[in-house]
Amino acid sequence: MKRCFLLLLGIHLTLLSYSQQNIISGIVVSKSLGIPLSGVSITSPSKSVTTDSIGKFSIMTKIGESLSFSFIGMKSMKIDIKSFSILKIELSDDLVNLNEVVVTGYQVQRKIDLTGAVSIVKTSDISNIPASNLITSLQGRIPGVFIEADGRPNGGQRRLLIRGLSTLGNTNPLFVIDGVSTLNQQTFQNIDPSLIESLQVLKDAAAGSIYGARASNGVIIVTTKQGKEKMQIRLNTSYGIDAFTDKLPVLNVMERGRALWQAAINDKINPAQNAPLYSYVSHLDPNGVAILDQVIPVPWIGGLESLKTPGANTDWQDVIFHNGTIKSTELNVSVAGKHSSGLFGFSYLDNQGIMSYMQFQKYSGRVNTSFSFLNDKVKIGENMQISYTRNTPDRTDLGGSDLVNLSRFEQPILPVYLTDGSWSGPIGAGFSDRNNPLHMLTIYKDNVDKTMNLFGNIYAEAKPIKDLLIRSSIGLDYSDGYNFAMFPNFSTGFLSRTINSLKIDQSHRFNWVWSTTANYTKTFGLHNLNLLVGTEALKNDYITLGAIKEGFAIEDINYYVLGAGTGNQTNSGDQTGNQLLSYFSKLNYNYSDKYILAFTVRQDGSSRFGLNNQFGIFPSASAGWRLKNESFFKKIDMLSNFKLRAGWGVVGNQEIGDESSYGVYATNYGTLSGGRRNIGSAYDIRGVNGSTLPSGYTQVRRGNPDLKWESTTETNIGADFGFLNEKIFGSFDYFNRRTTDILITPPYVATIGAGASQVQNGATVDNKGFEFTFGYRDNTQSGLAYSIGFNVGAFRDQVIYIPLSVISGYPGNIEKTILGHSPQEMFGYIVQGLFQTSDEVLASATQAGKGIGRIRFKDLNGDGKIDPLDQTWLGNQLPKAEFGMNIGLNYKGFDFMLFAQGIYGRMVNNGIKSQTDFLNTGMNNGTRLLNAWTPQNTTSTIPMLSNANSNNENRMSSYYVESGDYLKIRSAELGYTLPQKIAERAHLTTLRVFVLGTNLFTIFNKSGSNAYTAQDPSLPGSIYPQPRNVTFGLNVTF
Amino acid sequence: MKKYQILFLLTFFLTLFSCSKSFLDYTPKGKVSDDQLNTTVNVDGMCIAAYASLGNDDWSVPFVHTWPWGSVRGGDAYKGGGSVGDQGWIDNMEKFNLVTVDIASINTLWIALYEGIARANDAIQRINKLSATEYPNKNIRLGEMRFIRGHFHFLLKTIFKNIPYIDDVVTQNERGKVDNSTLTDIQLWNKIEADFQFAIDNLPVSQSDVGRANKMSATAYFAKVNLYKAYEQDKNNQITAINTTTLNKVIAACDVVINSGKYSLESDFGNNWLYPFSENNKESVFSVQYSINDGTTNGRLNMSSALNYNMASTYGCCSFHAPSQNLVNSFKTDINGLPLPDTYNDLSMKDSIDFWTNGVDPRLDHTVGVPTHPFKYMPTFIAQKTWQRVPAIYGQFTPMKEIAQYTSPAFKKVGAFFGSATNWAIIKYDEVLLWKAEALIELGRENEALPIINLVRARAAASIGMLKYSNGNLVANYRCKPYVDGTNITWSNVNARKALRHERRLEFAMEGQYFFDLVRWGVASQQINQYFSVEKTRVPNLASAKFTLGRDEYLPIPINQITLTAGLLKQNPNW
Repeated sequence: MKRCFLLLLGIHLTLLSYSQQNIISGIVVSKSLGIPLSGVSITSPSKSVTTDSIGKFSIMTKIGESLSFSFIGMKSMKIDIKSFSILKIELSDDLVNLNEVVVTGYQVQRKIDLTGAVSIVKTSDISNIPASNLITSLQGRIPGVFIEADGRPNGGQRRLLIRGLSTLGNTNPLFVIDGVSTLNQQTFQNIDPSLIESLQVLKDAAAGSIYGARASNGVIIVTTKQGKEKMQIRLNTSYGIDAFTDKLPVLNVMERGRALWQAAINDKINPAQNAPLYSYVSHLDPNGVAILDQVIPVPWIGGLESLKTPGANTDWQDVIFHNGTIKSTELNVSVAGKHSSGLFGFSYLDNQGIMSYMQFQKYSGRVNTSFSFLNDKVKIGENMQISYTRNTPDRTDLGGSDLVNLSRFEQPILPVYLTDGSWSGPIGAGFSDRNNPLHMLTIYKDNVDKTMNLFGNIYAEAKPIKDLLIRSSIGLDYSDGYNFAMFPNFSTGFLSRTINSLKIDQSHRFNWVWSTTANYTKTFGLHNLNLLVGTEALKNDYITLGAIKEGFAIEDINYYVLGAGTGNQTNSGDQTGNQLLSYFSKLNYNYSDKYILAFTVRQDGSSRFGLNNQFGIFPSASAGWRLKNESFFKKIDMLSNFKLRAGWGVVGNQEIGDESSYGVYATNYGTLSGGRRNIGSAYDIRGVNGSTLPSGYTQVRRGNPDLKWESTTETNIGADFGFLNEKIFGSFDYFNRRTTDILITPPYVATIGAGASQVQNGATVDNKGFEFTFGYRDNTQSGLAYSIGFNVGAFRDQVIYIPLSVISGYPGNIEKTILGHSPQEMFGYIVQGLFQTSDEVLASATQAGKGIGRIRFKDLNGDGKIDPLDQTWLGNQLPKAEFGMNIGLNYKGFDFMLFAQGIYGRMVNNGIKSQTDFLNTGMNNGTRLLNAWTPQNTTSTIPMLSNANSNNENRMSSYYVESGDYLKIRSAELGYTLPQKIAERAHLTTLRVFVLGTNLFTIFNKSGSNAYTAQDPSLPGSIYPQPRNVTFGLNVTF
Repeated sequence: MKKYQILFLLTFFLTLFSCSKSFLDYTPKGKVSDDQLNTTVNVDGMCIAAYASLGNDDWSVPFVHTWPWGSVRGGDAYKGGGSVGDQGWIDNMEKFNLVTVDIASINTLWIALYEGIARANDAIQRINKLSATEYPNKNIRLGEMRFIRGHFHFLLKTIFKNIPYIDDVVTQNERGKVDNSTLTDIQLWNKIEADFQFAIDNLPVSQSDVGRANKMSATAYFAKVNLYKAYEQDKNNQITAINTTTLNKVIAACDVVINSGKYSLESDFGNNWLYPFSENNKESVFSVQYSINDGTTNGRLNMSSALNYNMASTYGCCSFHAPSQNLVNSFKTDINGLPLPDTYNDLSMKDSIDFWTNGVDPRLDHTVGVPTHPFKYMPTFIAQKTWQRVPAIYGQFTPMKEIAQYTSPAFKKVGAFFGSATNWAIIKYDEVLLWKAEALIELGRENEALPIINLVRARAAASIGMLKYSNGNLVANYRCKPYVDGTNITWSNVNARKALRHERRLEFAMEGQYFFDLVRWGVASQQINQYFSVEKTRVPNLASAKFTLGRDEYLPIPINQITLTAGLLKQNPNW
């Protein structure tokens, strides 16, 4: 309803503006090619239109107003209206926009003046993707940025690595949104993509060092849009359908019966003993080999009809997963006057995931305003975003089992419902203690995590004297989290909960940052000088509060408030925080647009570090040489742009816990044990039972007053180039970074005692790599505009120094250390196939549990026994290269975009293989094991089925290491912009309809020795799958 | 205009310098620093934290009820559970030949036990900073902490043998540099013994807080340590001598406890595991104090047996620790009411009728859930074959001692599993009696041991009051009589030893002790392989099981710990 109202308001405003004006029309053509150009945008002071498919346009205007014409790749043109005659406008090619500016940290710079490695994301590419968060949309678009995300409706669990991974802690980059820094990924995700004016990634230390201690994971800078000169209302709305496409092939009820039978035969035990849920008919063939004739699942689970649990053939993945929908609407209003501007945005997203009762909803609003006065010498403004999200938390069953995994491996014989329509559960022999997953999803359907986030800043700018800009900004990042989880009673099969409870967790995050900068710009002849000095203070506070209450007489969501419970109650809560105090300065120098120099220095003090090392200094220096502007290059017409860049700098990382340097003890009364191993400090010393307990203290951490920044020193050399008037363009960067004093909390010898962990500075990692982007764009005579782009990023990292004190924090053993390897390399045993004969078994090294059909591990050191010293390096979990490709086409109102992304040279640990290839007697398994080794099927690589895992085949080994290479069509979008005449008839400026597909298909290695044997190599293991999505949408502007 | 210029410049410089270094001051929230703990009140708290570690285990590292290490390995029980692979590490324990140096649970156990030692040492180091005037309980608390330290070292010693000994003299940061090869086996025992000696010297006979160690519990533990120490082992875990001096210390210590008059046997054997009779009763010498409704989420419960509840609908999961057929058979008695240590295992007691055609020691129905018999003294709650989750692999019997009655206020469902606030005795008086008997027999004074063993048997014979159906009929043909030299037995040293060892098994069955007894006596390899040879005909799952002499008496030192110390810790022999 509200949405309709705003829409009407917009139309009225548009209608109003018609009154005193006349229409002028014309055609726009390309000067060089002479062909009509479609999609050229024409702006009058009050209105904006685009040319139609044959280059024609008409627009309301007045004599004396000016119209501007702009089109990507063409020089913009401005004309004054003198009469209403038909116009013919010729736009000339200009693919170099010299004045494009980017935000690089406390200041704005011309793109051509950049000397560091900065990637600029084209925001139009991602504005329609209905993903719930920006990070997923960025996957593969920035060379050198590696993103992993699963398919959860809220955008899933993410990992974002810029130029590899050096630290072992938090690898999040620093997000700087409208000048306010935060490490809170959620805040970044809450931004509406269509409100982003620009998005830059500072990748190297020269660019990042202005953010000092927090820049070592890279910096992502986002600037949101401001109100534009003319009134504009923009509406984007879309509806998408998510499809579950990554179904894992698992056994049906008969296949599972057969697998259990085969395992019993292999184990030489009676199949009836092994499979309480089946009976069998079998015979021996002439060779004495048992042949299975018939599998008969029990008609009634638990043996008795009175238990009402009929044997079924349930496909649990079909029960749990189904198509989901994504609805998304954004409405923005942009206005500006002579001394003020305003941008108002509202958006709504509702993502009903592909798993039952999983939902993510986001509401967000944005208000960006600014006012200038005193002859525009002073400007005050604010950028504020408020967002509210509701997310279904991950749920587990009674025993804590993950339900995504359970939906794959619950047994098919279990029905969803009993004969009386109630929920089924495991009963009798043959089941693991796992619940019916749909039952669990249903009883927890009202559990929700709600977050309210307020993020933004208030700023003032002044130009007290000529060339000096002083700016002070107070930024705010406030989050309020409220997690509601009720745990109703139930009794299904042998599993039950008899005391219901409610758990409420609240969190408050209050961060503020106050930064003040002075920016002085001066031009002396050909010398351009810019000096920035600034100071920043930042304070983060985080408080949590939890309460559990038991005993609710009525199991209704409306009854579940803490006060209504009558049973036990427990509280918990915690608090942490940190402060950062910084001084920084940057000097930019440009001589004649040919030679560019930049120097940065930042001093950061952090409360997180030991008193002995609280302050760190982060300098950088970089230079650029615009060769194209040299006289000797000017003559080469083919070359339209050529710049060399080189930079050196130091950045830091402080992503450890707030209290990591402090040795502390805490009381642990036992509220958080969750029923598992208690590590509490309370004890019923009086033996009275049933009253409160005396409690002592346990160590939480050993202190480390010498703890200091992890620092990264990086050299970056790069070039930007363009040919043929920028039809061909690209850039290349080579980097060499060394990260020292890497922060780590290594495991320690048990004799030191529990809670004796200590955060330490340890290893040194070298990381070398390159990034390359390349594009080609052109227009054909027939009016087709096209572009193709390609980017690739690659790196190799290597531990080059590791002190003994932290060696245990990395993979390896007593003989083989991580030294010389990537920190992400996997470590384990080498599989040499399966034992085929008893002679082979006898002749092989001592190996507990070895036998025919079992995995034969390699005796690497040849000492005649298989033990942990026979482990070695199995492959790197980070890719050798990641690449992205996009194709864009524009033709007569139609636009098409295709985006593909892939990785190369990555090995993954396909952990799900332990469930697809090995029999688990209480759970289901993958169909792969139907092809397991038998004396008759000796070519199989899958070990013989067995009831027991005597050979410990779950151990990390090359059996699980598979190729993680893939090429994914991440998105394809087809749009059509209505010809302007038709749009105008509906009183619209532009109307575009589109259909967008994401995650369309994946090519990966499906055969051969390196094949990936599960569904999606970008998400190894059992995690929430990424759905395939098709979205239909509208982009409308008034 | 000028004034605005000044104003802005002023604001700018103000902000530039308004923050000082004190802005970075931060104090951890809700935590205390090392120094803050050195007050009498907080040092008392550190002692409580050390006590708390006594019960800080669960089913993944059980060290209170040591069933995977002691019962399953000793042949009292099969692993049980949902399948052979369910908690596969226990399957490895059960079969011995599948144990490897990198089993995670072994490492976790090692870590958990050293955590208890670290807490005790932390308290000791703080107590030592206070004078006796400041802290009048100084020596008592020191004694208690050394008792706890001794307890954890004892567990480590009996499970792992060659262990680093950590006392309060080494600083925390230096603890990782203590090796496990400098001290000889005897020296290690002496260190552990010294802790209990200190406790004996400084603790009062009784403490107002019943959960605290006292002079008697320390004396009893001293006896236990010396009993183990008396059977001297070589590097390959073989018994080289039985030290008579040490045995005499056992007897002297046991006598102190016995003569104190503080303890006696409960009238009914079953009281020791039946809430509320179990709570610090007259038989309890030292118990882990569990609690419920204590303000924690679930209570400070015994979770070491959380998986051991049977599949009856009142419980529901997970049926681990399944009594072996061999154990059930061992409760068989002859016509004279005496056990059959040589022949008990020839024929199995399985079906209801078998418990009537044979004589049965009443302790069976306090220890094992037998189908058709009432379970845990609830006459209408009849055990079923289906209570064992996978009867085809793990038979039909279920454990009972560690299981709380489902009606008990000490019982609590925790997720899919179960906890109990019933205290668990580390040392019971019956054990003190049998230690003394064992020492006497090994010293050739078997005649003095006879009345002690008969005392224990008499209590067992009398413990039939709760073993009845609702109609008042006894559940089985209970026959348990004392030994009478020359009448029903020739009480030779050989027979006495045999009788003592069998008695121990019946008295402490399923408590996680028997394996450690077998190792102490030096008969583990022979007995366990003999057990396998028969048991695998009943349970095909045990077909491949094999005990390796000179290796399997102790668990391997966890490979992780060897790696973490860069090889400072040496692996046990033959691993």
